Amino acid sequence: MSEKIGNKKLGQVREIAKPFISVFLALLCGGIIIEIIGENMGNIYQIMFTGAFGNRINIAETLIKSTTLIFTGMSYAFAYKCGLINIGAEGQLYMGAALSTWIGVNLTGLPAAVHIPVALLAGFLGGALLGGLVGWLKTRFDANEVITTVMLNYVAQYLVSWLVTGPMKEQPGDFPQTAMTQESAYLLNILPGTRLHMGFVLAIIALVLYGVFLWHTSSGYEMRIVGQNNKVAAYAGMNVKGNVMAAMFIAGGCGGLAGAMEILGVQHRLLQNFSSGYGFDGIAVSLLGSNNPLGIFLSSILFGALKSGGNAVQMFSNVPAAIINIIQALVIIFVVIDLVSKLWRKKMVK
Amino acid sequence: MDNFNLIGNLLLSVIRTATPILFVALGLLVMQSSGIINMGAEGMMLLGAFVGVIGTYWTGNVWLGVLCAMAASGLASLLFSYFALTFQVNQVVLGVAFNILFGGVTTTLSRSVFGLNSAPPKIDGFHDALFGLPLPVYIAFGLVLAIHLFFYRTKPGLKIRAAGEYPQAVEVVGLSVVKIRLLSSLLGGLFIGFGGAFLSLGQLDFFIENMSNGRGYIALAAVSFGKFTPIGTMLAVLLFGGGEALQYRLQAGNSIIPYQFALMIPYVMTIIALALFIRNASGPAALGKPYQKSH
Repeated sequence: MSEKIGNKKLGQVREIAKPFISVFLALLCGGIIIEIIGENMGNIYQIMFTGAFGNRINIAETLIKSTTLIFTGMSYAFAYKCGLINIGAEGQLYMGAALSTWIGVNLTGLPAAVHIPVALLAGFLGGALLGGLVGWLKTRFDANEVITTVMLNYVAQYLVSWLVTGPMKEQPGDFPQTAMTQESAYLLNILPGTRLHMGFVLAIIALVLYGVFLWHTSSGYEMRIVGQNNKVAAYAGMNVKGNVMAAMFIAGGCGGLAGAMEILGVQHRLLQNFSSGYGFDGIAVSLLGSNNPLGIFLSSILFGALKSGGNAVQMFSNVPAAIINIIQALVIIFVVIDLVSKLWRKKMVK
Repeated sequence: MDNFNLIGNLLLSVIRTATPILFVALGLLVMQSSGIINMGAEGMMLLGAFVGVIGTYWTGNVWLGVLCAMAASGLASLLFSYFALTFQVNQVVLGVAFNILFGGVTTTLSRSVFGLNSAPPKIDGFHDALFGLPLPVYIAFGLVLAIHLFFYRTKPGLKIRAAGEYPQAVEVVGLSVVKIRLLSSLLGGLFIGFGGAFLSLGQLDFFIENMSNGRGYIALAAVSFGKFTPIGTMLAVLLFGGGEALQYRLQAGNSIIPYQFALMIPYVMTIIALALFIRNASGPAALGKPYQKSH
């Protein structure tokens, strides 16, 4: 009996320790690559850590990045819970950014209390429409969502590139960018002396809503059943197609909100290629966080830190910020193949 | 006569732009036929493009560069399938992780070898061999026929298809499904590497970060579009190649269409093909499913 309880406890410890060990192993492998290109691993990681948490401003920059990552992470997680693999958060982010920029620039004379929510809603819609398109292609034509989302990422980025050099270009102006949004559409600052904005709070609220919807409402339960086994769900009389459409729409909306965060909270105008791969980072955020709210929150902080630390590394050493992508991919691989359990079990057997 | 030249030139450019995708699609076809979905083809192609340039740069011989690229992508593909088969994981998520990984690896290494601001070094890539096309183009299209014969006329080809279609039967006759799939992945990876190398060494003679630009995914779509046969895959790739060639034409000419819309053509074409024509293409029955021995 006591042995059983001991095993159970050990199992729980393992579940909690797993993501941390996966991250540690990924950092170690990243370190080997850093050594290969002739830099010192300890040195680089120290620059990275200082870049992410060294002072108040750096911490704020990390949390700003986490904010956007929470939304792209939720975008992947939401679709995943319904059995879909959404690689399209990047494109959804661009569409959301475009629409919220348009609202931010062109609606004038509104109080912030109105302008901000409307601009956020526009961001949600921009992404949701693109996600909805994927859902429609999936349910109506059975088109593989992995490929359609990847293709739409390119389409969305070219569309934004056209918008900022054509119809939405700042007038008069020589740069491929839109005008600045009205100040009434700026997300409010929550930490004076830094750029940290209220989006961070909104992201946490969104995470709570995500958790409540999926685990504490019957619609959310239905969506998860569809995700686990759509044949069983259909047999039980659930509307599989409707759930797939809804999941892609909302997942797209989360991606769109990520874009709105970047525009309304940080950049305040639309530029070409302004996202440094936030949509793809979201995949790692979601997987490392086991698709649950607390997990997504914690891993968004980690990847936010890696992102701002990566920028510091690129600035102060010869290691490019792309080293972050390597670490990220390794985290995904280690989590997906459940490397830690495998190593752990072998050790136990011995 | 002028029109004749125009059509001839367009055809040559279609064939040339289709070639890297064709290599990758054929590699994917071999893997998919054995039951493995390689969503990581995009990253493996990028790896091939990078290693091809590095290999050529260091050895001074483009064919040695191609060999390096094939070896690198072949190993990557083998590793992918090893993970997918032994750990029985979601092949799609694993593939996406491989894409992110090789995107990061190639960018990091290319900056450390070539630097960021320096002008790209001169690399001697492929030269035109016959009718204004370099040799790899002929190899790619020759491979279509070779794989067709291999699949439908030889025992090993049959074994690969059986592993994807009905793995239980393969085990019953005493063969290892895992081994067949691993070997198919190695073979497929070699082709994907060649495709990547031709992407960088066929025209530009240099490596650009993320230069595969979705071609790995387009190749995946082409395999389904071609109904999982070598000849069908080739026709699908030519169609996509046509879209890409058209895009270059539209960009080059002073057309009224903004260049961004021209750039979208291959991607939009892929979506339309997926939606309208691929629905009924039935792939190998055991595609993407992890195989567990029944004993």
